Amino acid sequence: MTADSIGTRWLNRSALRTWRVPHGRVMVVLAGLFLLLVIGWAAFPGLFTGGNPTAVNPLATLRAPLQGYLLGTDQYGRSVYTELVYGARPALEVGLLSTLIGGVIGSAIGVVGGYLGGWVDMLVMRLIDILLALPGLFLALIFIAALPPTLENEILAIGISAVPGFARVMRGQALQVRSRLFVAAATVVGVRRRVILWRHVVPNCAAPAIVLGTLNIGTAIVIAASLNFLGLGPSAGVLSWGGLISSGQGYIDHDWWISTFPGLLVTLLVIAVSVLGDRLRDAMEPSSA
Amino acid sequence: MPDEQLLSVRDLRISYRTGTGEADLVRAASFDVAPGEIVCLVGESGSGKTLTGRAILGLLHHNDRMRVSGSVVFGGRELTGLPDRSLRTVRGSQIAMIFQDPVAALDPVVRVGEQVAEAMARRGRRRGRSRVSGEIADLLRRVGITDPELRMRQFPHEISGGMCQRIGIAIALAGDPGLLVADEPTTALDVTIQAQVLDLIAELRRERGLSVLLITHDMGVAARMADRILVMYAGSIVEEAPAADFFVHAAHPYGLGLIRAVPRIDIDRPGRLSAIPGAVPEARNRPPGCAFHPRCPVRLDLCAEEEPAPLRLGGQLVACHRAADMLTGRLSLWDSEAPVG
Amino acid sequence: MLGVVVRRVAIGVPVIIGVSAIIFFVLRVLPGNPVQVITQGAPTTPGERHDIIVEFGLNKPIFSQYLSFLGNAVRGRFGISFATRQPVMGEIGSQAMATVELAVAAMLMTVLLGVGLGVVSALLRDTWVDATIRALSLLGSSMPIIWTGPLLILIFSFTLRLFPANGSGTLSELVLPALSIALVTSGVIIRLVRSSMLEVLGLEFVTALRAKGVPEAWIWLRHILRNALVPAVTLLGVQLGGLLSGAVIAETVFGRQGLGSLLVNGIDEKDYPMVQAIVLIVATAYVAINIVVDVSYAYLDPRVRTQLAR
Repeated sequence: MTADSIGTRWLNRSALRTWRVPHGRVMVVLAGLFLLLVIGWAAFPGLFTGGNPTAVNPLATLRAPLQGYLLGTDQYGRSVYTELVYGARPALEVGLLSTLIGGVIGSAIGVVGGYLGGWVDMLVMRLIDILLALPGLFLALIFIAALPPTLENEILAIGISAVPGFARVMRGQALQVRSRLFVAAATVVGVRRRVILWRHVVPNCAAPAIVLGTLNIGTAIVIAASLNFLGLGPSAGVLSWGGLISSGQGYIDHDWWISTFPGLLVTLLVIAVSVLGDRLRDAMEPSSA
Repeated sequence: MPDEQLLSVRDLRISYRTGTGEADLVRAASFDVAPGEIVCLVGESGSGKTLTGRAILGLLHHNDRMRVSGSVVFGGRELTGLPDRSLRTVRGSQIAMIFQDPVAALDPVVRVGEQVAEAMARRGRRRGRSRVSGEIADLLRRVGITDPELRMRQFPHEISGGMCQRIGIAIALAGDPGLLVADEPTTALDVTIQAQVLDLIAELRRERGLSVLLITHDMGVAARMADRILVMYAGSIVEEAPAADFFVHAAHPYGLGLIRAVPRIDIDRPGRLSAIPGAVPEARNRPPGCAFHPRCPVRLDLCAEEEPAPLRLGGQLVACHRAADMLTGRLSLWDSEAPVG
Repeated sequence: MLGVVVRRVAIGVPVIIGVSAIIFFVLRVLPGNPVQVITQGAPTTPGERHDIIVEFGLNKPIFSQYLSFLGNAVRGRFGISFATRQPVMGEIGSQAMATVELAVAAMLMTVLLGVGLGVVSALLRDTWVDATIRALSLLGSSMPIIWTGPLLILIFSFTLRLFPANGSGTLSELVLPALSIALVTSGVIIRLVRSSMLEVLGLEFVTALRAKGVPEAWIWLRHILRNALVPAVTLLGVQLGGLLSGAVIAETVFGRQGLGSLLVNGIDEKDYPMVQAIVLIVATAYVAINIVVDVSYAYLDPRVRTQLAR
């Protein structure tokens, strides 16, 4: 059983805390400010740059940073900074929406399985095992292969690839809640399972789902950037950090900035999201702190 | 008392750095162990016995927050301040140790035989594999393990606690030490196994002239094993006495309290088990004067103000303002429910 | 021990069948007309279309198509490529080795970096070395391969001229792609090895080892590391998924041949038989390696071994 091997059980118990990143006050503030900046880019790109991300300028190709352009220009003379700012919206869209899709579907499957138990749970566990046998990128790639290349489909594919992770964690959570509720629920005669589910199980499972969701946003953004890099992202009209890294790779020997700045941006975003995710976990699960 | 001491501990002080300052866990402990002698270090848990035992082997070095000072002389050689490398030549081959939890004291993922071999290999002799394993088997047989060839290939979790303690003793004996520090060696074991392990230790003393520093909170164990008793309370040795004297007339109220806390079928009526009320103070909240005075039924006002100096009374060394009264039998405690004084 | 393997395989087989079903039905049920893919949009007569449908077995009910796909897959036959009209296994077979090499190299580097730096970090705990390693491990595991790849090329190929930027075949061409993957996968291993070693360091048996005079280096290598490796091996199994995903990306970044670039091409050309075959093979390898990991976990921890033997 891949989802529930001896080893993974051990990991769940003891090692997960080592996956945590430093999340002291300074880190949290820095991460929050950085995230706010990127959200600002996504919401009001015009406020942060006067440029046009698609404006080609043959007279200013491959300019180094600070030579009239903050982060330099690419091979078409487009400002790298402007491209980063305008790339924020699709990146965050993918990150948030795919997490929402994966989180809702995965949590629903996991909670229902863990709460109802019996054959439903058996089914859920098998499904998780099967989906986990397709490591992250591969599950997304099947759907990418099957669907036309649009941003919506990219979001869907990445969202689905997050389903087994959510389902596994939330199933465990629901099992835990159920064992706590079992005695109480048995004494409260006549309370319907649906009511218990909504009133007790779901709220108790919400905290870990939110933490997991936060951390997943970073993962989703990386997968999206990678898909775009591989040329498997939206076919046209969508600006992407991954695409920018890809187009800059050919120029990396002299014009390093084209790939480097979007790469750095994605890295910082992932770190910021993990810092905040771990901070959230502390806030929501005081027992695990 | 024999003149030639194997181990001499003088003014041993162990302190622990906390967030706010330093707290003394052991303060100015001094005692000796003679060759072939079994000395029992007794006291409740938290009194500093285990730390004292570990400090003798220099095992507290590895904790950055512990500070050890004073002098530990073994076989004429000063051990405190020795670098780890030199201490290694002492550990195991001159002073060995056995532990309270025999299973936890063994590496769970390494076969028992190898763990015994490690204790022998250090003596610098290179021997053939089969000879080593023959020696291990002999050693295991010596500590009462049947079928040693099988046990050697097993892992600690496959072996009972009593068996693990025998292996712990075998490991301790592997280096042929002069002194064995046994830290609550029977506490984690069943009663019948306890007796077997104690008998084994006594036998080893008889045969090899092994000295033993036996750390225990169990006065039954102490009564059975000890030549001499050291009573430790809140990091200080409050009484030192030959076992024969101690169990007849303990001179410190705490020592007497410990003896009285042992349930005795012949004397005690049911429901009359006398125990010392209260608990050992934490090092940070050490009471002024005699540390035992808040729990002491025969305390004087003086006890809260002045720490009593050790006083030699016959064979006994006692740190108590009322030691003389205790020994002359003018005080009786706990028997008459109401505290005196 | 054999019982463990048998039990794990018995669970793994239905998982793989489930995977095959997901791959097959997702690719078939979702929109997209195979005939159009095969003809690559060129105008066709109804007769030609019919021939294609019969040639690829598309006229049969979808469920029986699945069964024959599964039956053939078990025998190592994955059908005819839509794009090249050649058996897909031919191409896969010729390029699989390159991916295996990359995955093995990346795994070795992950272990080397993860365990090596983890041990150093634990030994020098709370020093600047430890702090640096921990910061780098966080950075490494947060950097996307699509960026570390170009960055490594910039540093080690163009600036230091130590390793070639792309290609596959020689050992030196393997270094940078494997490293780009290992930087991502080793981060959590470093942190796990460090924290488990420190956890083990506080256990009673370490004191007991010191008490019997065992040299400190031996205590660390033979005992503390050995105990700390138990969880690390498990994590390695989990990281393998990231490693395989990373291989797909690294092959493209470094212009290597292999299943990854073949898969990316296949998706690009809607060559479903190719995609099906590669994903199914990768998933099978993944499950198989995780069985190996589980068994080696039992080997490393005798307590688990006993538990499983019951």
